[in-house]
Amino acid sequence: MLQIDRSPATSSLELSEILPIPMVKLDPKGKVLFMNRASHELLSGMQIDPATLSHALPHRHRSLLRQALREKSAEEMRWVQNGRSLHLVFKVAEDGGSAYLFMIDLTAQEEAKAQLAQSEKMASLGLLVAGLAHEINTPLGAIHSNNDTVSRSIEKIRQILEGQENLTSADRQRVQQLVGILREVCQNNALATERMISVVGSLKNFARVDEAEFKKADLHEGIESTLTIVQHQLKNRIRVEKQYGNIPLVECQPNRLNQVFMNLLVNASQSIPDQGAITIRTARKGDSIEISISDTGVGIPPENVSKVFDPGFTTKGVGVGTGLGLSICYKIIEEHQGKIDVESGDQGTTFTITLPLGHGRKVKSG
Amino acid sequence: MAERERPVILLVDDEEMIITSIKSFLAVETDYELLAYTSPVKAVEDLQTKIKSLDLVISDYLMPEMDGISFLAEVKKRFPLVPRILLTGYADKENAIKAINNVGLYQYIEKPWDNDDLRLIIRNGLEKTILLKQLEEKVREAEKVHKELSDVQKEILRVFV
Repeated sequence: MLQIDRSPATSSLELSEILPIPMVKLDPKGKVLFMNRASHELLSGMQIDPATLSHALPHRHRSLLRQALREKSAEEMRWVQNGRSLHLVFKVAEDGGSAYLFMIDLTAQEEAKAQLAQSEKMASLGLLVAGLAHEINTPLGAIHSNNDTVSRSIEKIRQILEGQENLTSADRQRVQQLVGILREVCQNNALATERMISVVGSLKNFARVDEAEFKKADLHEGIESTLTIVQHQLKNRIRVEKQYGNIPLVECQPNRLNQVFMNLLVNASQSIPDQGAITIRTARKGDSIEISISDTGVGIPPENVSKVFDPGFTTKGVGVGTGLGLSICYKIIEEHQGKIDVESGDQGTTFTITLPLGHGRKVKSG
Repeated sequence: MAERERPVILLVDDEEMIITSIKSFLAVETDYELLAYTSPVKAVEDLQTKIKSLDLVISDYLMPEMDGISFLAEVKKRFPLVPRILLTGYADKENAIKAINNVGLYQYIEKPWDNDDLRLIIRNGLEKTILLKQLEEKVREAEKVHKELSDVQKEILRVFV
């Protein structure tokens, strides 16, 4: 028979010490009587003095806490402190005169949910871009070909007209002038459509919806097509300097890496308030490839450098940044068995990605 | 040899604007006779009945009624020797490889195309058709001569033996 040890030596307070959920015992006035280890960890992570728990809470959370204590109900709250956002659920259990307050931390789940939503957004953006590129392609193909046909026809008409002997010299001159204008217009159209063709090509290359698998790809091609996408953010304001090394094809998920390049390039451009430069370097280092993206922007304050890859960390303000961009970059590079580092100072910021040349495939366990 | 006839090209694309573009270009630069269809199903129908001779076929890949690979396979049934060209904006290498292997594609052109490239590909394809036709004719001639010879041989044997 299984014997259950019910000896009083294992007191509830002792047990609560190993409970992974932050728990606080409060008297009816809200004064802290006891805190378990998990709640100490949570509060010190938030840099809050446990003795003044209820005072440390932002005002509207204090009333939430009071309400939770009064009604013994579960209350959810979002607690933003030092650039970190915590999602907590307060649950209260009454025990005689005092109350046990459980603070269930749902931040990790929330962040995972947000990351998933963000990568779904990126995936549907990829589909949208690919669809758009395909839709533009057909009319663009028609215009490109028609312009060429028009320019060939003009030359033929010119030859016929020049062969006419009964043209006055004034007419002849007028024909020459008009043919000259049409030629120039057609050349101009050809340049315009060629530029559109290259943009559409970059869009298709960027989206690469058919390439979710790991395959050998040219990283420079990915960087170039991503640069075309973010071009409007850089134009006339930021100079892009490319120092491409001689690197082989890398086994990777090209569209996922393009997402990383895009995030880094957009961040770099947003960090430059006025004029500046972004330098992209690639090099082979033994069995790996190093890609670095440097900007001449404002830099990251030293106290924040260690937090930039944390999910939800942002200094851009509500509505500008999701705080997920770099955490997703980190995840993608991790999936490639690579690493991403950041260095920042007054002169700007450099992100360095290191990718293994091959066997970047993560072996799924289980 | 018989007087050279205008080569007949069959073009299928569900987009009218693509047909107009290619038709106009070929009208300016070549003397090819172009049979153009926006419906591959209608084109297959006419292949069985109306179209008596064909030298080359160009088809779009993504069409609502029938995809270009299936259409080209239909053309192959009726005119096995005619070069088949797939024209597509859907830059999907897997489908291109499938097409080359299954349908025996002659060429694969990506939209937007370059008119000079298109003309060159068509011209080379037509040359191939002409050579094949000439070869067919020569084989027929050789067979005819062979038959005549064996007839003569039979006659000689009949007379002398």
